[in-house]
Amino acid sequence: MNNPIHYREAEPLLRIQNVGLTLNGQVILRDVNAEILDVIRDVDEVDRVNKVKQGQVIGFLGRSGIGKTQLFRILAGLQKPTTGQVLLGEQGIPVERGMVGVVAQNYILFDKRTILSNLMIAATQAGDTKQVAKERAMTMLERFKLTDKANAYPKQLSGGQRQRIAIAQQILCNNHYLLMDEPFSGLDLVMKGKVSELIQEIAQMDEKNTIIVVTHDVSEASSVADELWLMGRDRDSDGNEIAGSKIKMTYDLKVRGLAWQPGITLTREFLDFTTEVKEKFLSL
Amino acid sequence: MKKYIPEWLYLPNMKPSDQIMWAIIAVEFVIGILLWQNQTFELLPKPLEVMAAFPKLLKQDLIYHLMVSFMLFLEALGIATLFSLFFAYFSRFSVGYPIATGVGLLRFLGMTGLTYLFQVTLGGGYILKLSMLVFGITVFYTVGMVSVVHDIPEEEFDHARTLKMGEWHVLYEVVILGTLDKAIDLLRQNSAMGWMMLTMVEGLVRSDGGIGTLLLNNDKHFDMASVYAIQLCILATGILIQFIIDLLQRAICRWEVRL
Ligand SMILES: Nc1ncnc2c1ncn2[C@@H]1O[C@H](COP(=O)(O)OP(=O)(O)OP(=O)(O)O)[C@@H](O)[C@H]1O
Ligand SMILES: [Mg+2]
Repeated sequence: MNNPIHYREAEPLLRIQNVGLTLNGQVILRDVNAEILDVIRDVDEVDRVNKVKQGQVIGFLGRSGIGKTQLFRILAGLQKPTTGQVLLGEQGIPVERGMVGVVAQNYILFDKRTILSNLMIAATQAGDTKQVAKERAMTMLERFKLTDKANAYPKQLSGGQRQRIAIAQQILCNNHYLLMDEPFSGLDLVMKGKVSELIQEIAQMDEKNTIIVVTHDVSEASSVADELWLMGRDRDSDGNEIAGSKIKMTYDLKVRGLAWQPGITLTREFLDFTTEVKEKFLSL
Repeated sequence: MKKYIPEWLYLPNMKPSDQIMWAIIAVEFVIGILLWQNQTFELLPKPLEVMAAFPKLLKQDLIYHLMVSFMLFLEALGIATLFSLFFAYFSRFSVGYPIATGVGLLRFLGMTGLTYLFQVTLGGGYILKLSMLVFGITVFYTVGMVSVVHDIPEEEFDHARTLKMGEWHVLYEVVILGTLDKAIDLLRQNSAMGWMMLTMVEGLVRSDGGIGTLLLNNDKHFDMASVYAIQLCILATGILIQFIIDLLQRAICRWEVRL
């Protein structure tokens, strides 16, 4: 057995309530409900000292075309749902564009601006003065080890470097919430590991940081996330799919003691867990 | 046997060295001149005859006429660019889209009736030439630019919006700044078109001079050597304009440069 890590759950950070989406008469999403709670980790259970800043990472799985990107657009306030709402924070503020960062599949940046300018504009959009924006941008470049690229243009970066800048840009502008659409696709094994580390790092930068990561790979999702969401469709009595996807299943890796432990992916429990999820995934 | 023939001579998609490429250009240029020299059409003057026409043309103020045309062209290109970009950006507004599309459709109109219309509404002489040129360039430039502005992937708009940008800011960042490279590309293409229209437009109003006027005057007198000499000047100036826009593009579009 692995040692369970002590944690407790506090107030909700994000609530998806009865979200439905119909586009051009086609039902894409139906009754999507989910909730992300603030996870608080105490290293010493007895006197609750040594608090670790622990953000939340959700692994978001679902077949191609099921509606993940559409749900992301709703979560980011870019698309108004046909029904339901998305609420942020304890006060339950309805989401508006700019409150939730999105790193798209193709790492979009402002191609006509330098890397530094890309980051500075994100910071000034968050309300910083030019000077503060520059300082924060430079700090971010240092953290992502891209200081030497400050004056380069996005087209002069490799795919992995673009991805890091795209993430940095969203972190500078949007507090706490980050949606990542397939950050692992097209990366080699080493890079995948690096992106995993990066996601963990961002998660631990702030107690309230909340990251939702779309991937098609169950093991990958389980290795970074502390919770999994599986998206799928309901079936009628004849076994035919009903239009409109929802979050059909959630798995809590924290409860199973499978979260936050670097070596965990090699253990028997972890393998058993991913096998279980894969079977469920295929049956959805 | 095949070994002795270099592949670039008969295979497509080859990339010979710069020296070889320049050699190919030189050889083909010389062949072109030789073909010209040895053609048998009586009306078409030979290269040396055309060259011989230059001193006479210089006495007819060739340089002055060329400058007059060049300045007219620059002014028209500048105004047409402003109009075209305005229509294209305006097409991102629901109320602007039909207008911009309509402007583009005007390219199917003939010039004949328009000359009269412009003359009556705007005035004759220089203004007439300018407005005809501006019209000709704008209709084509607008069509190209509207399609560029509407080909921007939706994700780029979303990206700007996730950075708390309002729609006006998105318009500036994604539409105007984001398509700057394409705007210059289209400027180059449409400047060639405008330059081609120039001699025709200058034929409408001859009092100001200009290379088109000079061309028509010599054509009237069946001085074919001079006509072709002037055509050579027009060609050379056109190439120069392309070159200048190339330099402009290289100076502005630093984001394209690979490190
Ligand atoms: N504008 C639209 N109008 C109508 N239907 C749309 C529109 N955009 C997307 N869809 C449909 O919505 C469904 C969900 O698409 P979405 O892009 O969210 O899938 P996804 O889960 O992200 O897939 P992938 O993993 O391949 O990226 C698809 O069936 C798609 O055809
Ligand atoms: Mg998708």
